[in-house]
Amino acid sequence: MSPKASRRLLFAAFLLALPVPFLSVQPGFAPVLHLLFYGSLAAGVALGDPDSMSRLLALLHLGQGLGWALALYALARLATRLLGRGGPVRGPLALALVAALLAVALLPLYRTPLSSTGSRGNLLHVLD
Amino acid sequence: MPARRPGTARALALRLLLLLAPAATGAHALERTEARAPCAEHDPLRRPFFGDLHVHTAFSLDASTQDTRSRPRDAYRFARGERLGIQPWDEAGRPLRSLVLERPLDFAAVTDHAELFGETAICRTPGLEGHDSLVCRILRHRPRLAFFLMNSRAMVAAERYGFCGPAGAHCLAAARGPWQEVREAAEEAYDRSERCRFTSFVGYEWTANVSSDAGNLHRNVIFRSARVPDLPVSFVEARTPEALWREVGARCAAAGPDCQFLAIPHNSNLSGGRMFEAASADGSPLSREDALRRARAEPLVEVFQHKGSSECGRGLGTSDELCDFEVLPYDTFLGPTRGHRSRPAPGNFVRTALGEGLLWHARIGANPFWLGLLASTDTHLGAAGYAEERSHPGHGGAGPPLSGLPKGLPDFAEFNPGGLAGVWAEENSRDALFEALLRRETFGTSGPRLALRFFGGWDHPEDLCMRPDLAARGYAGGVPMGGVLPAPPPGVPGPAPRFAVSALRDPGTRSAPGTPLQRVQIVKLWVRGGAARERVFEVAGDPQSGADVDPASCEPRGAGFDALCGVFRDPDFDPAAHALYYARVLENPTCRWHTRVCNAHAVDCSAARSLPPELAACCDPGVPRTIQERAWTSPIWYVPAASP
Repeated sequence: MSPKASRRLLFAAFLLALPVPFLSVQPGFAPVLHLLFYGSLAAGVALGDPDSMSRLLALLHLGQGLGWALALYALARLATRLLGRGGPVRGPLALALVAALLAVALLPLYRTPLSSTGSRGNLLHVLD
Repeated sequence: MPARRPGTARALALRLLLLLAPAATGAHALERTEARAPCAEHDPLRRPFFGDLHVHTAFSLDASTQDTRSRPRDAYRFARGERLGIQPWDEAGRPLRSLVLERPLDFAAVTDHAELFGETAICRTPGLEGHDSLVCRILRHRPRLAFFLMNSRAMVAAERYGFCGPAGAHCLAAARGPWQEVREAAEEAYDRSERCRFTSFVGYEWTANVSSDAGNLHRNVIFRSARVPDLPVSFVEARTPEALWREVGARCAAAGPDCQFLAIPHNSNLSGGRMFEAASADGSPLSREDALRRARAEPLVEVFQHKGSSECGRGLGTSDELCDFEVLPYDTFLGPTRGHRSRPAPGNFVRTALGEGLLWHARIGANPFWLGLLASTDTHLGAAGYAEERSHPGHGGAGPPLSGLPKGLPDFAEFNPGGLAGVWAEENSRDALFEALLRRETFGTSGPRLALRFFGGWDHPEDLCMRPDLAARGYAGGVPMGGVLPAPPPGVPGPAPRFAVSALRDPGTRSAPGTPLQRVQIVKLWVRGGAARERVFEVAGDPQSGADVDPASCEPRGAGFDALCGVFRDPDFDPAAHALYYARVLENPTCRWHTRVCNAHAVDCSAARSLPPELAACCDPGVPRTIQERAWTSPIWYVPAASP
C-alpha cells in the first residue's frame, strides 16, 4: 500500500469512527462525519429559514467538524509516517489499525445529544 | 389540635363523613352554561375532585420526537382507567411498556403545545404542501435535531417556516385538524350523563419563552365548555401574556357567549425570574386595570409538576427549611446546558409572587398575583395523572430520549413524576369545576390524593375541628381557600382571623397504600415596612415524630396520622396590613422515585465510578433520596378596610 493510500485509508477511518469531543446542545463524543452531517442539515435549514438555533447548530457542528477534520488529517499523516518505518508491512499495519478502530467503535463510546435514539451508544447507533 | 393515628379506621371514616357530608346551609347557586343531564351526586358543601390539567400527547412536537404515540383520545381513556401503551415500540408498533391508573381521575385536560400543530401535521401527512421540505424530512428522520430546531423557531423566535406559506396560512390551515381532534376527544370523554364520572376540558399550552435564555413563560389555556375558538392562539400569534389574554378573549367572544377561558402559568421555577414580572405589556408600570385584568385571566398557578416545585426555594428569599423540596438546580431551560450556572433566584417562585401581589395591592388597590394553587403532571406520554413515585416511567418530552427499555433511570434525576390538581366543587361537571377554578377553591399535591380543606373567618369556634358541621360552618362563617376574608364583624376588639385546616391522608390502593400524614402548617405572608414578610406556623401533627424511611429498603419507620385538623388564630395579626395565609400538609418521608430505581439495580455508591451512565445520578449527593410528599392550598387573603 502506498503512503498516500495508507494516509487516505486512515483519514477516512478516523473521520468515520474516531469519537472526538464536541459541544452541541450538550457535550458529546462523535465521529467527525456525524458532526459534519448534522451541521449540513442545520446549515440547510439556516439557508432556507434562518434563525438563531439553526445558525448556532450549523456553526457549532460545521466549525468543530472542520477543525477536527484538519486535526485528524494531520494525525493520519503522522500515523502513515510512523507506519512507513515498518517498510513492506505498512499496508497490513494500516489495515490492522483500521480494523482495531472499527472493533473498538462497537463499544458504547459515543455521546450524541442530537441522535434520535438516545445519547450514548456505539458506531452503529451513531449511524442510525 | 385533634389528630388521628393510623389504624383508627372508624375515626378516618368519621372525618370523611364530616368533611364530605352535605348540609342544608352554605348552598351556592351554580351557574349552568351547558346542556347536560343533572348530576345524580350534587353536594352543596362540595367534594374534592382530583385531576390533571397539564397533559401532552403526540400532538406536542417534543413528545412526538421522543416517540410518544398516544393521541388525545388515548390520554382521556387513560385518565378514565384504561391501560396505555408507551414507548419504546417493537417493529410491529406494539408498546414495550404500559401504564394504568389504579384510580381513575375525576377530570383532565389535554394541553398540547399549540405552536407547531400545523407544522407537525404537514410533516406527518404525505401530499400536503411542505411535506417534502428539509425541515419535515429532518423531523421524520432525525427527530432529536428537529426537536431543537423546530421548538426553538416556534417557541423562542415565534416564527414560522417558509413551507407554512404567506402569513403561515398553510400551517394555520393544517392546525385545524389536530385542534378538531383535541375538541372531539374532549367531547367524547366528557360524561354528560347523570353519573358525572369524568370531566374533560378543551385546552392547550401557549408555549412562550424568553429569547435570550429560553426562560419559561408557558401557560395552559383551559376552556369552560365545548364552545372554543376555531384555532388556539399560539406564541407565534400572541407574544406576551397580555396579548394572549386579549386575543383568546376576542376569539372566544366571536365563538359565542358561553366561551370562557382561564390561563394557568407553570414552571415559574424555569422562568429566569420573569414569570411574575409586574409591568404592563408596553413596559410601563402596572396600573390597577392591568392588575385586575391579570388576576381575572390568571386566577391560578401550577405550583408543582414534573419539572419541579415552584413554591419556594430554601435560602432564596426564605429561611423556610421545607422549601428544599424538588427545587431544580437551574432556573431556565438552558440551565442544564450551562452546567447549572444559572441558579434559581427568589423571583422564580410563587411565594415571592404572592408577596409581591400583596405589595401591589397595598400600592394600587389591586393584586395582579391573586393566584390560587394547583398542581399537575405535565406528562408528555399522554399518561394523565400518572404521578407515581413507585413506577415513574419518565417524562416523554423534556427528559432524556429512550433507545429501548430503560436500562437505569428513565428520567433526569432532578425531575419527578408530577402532581395532581385538587378542586372542591359541588359536582363533577364542567360548570362546577370551572367555577371552582375561577374562585380558586383548589389545592395542589405532589402526587398523593390528600383531601385538604381550609377555611378562614373571624369567629370560627376553637373546637371547629370537632364539629360535625365543619364545612357548613366554614362556608357560613367565612371563606374557603381562594377567598378573601370579609371585613371583621363590628365591635369585636382586636379582631384576628381564625383558620381551620383539615387534612385526610391518601388512602391509596390495596397494592399501594397511602402514607400517613406528618404535620399541617400555615404559611403567612404580610406587608410590613414596604416589604413582604413571611412566617410558617405549625398547626397540627408532630414535626418531631421521628418518622422516616429506610432509603436502602424503602421501608417506612415510625407512625403518622390518618387525619389532621387544626384551628389557628394569627397571634401577630395587624388589621392595617395586607396578608394572606395558605396551608401546607406533609406526609411522612418516603423513597423518591429514583431511589426505588437505584435500589432495584442494587446500586452501590461506594463503587460509584463503576456505575453505567444511566445510573450515575443514583449517587448524586445533590438529589435527595427521600421525599416528603405534600399538598398546598390556595391562599385566603386579607385586605384592610383602608386599602386603596
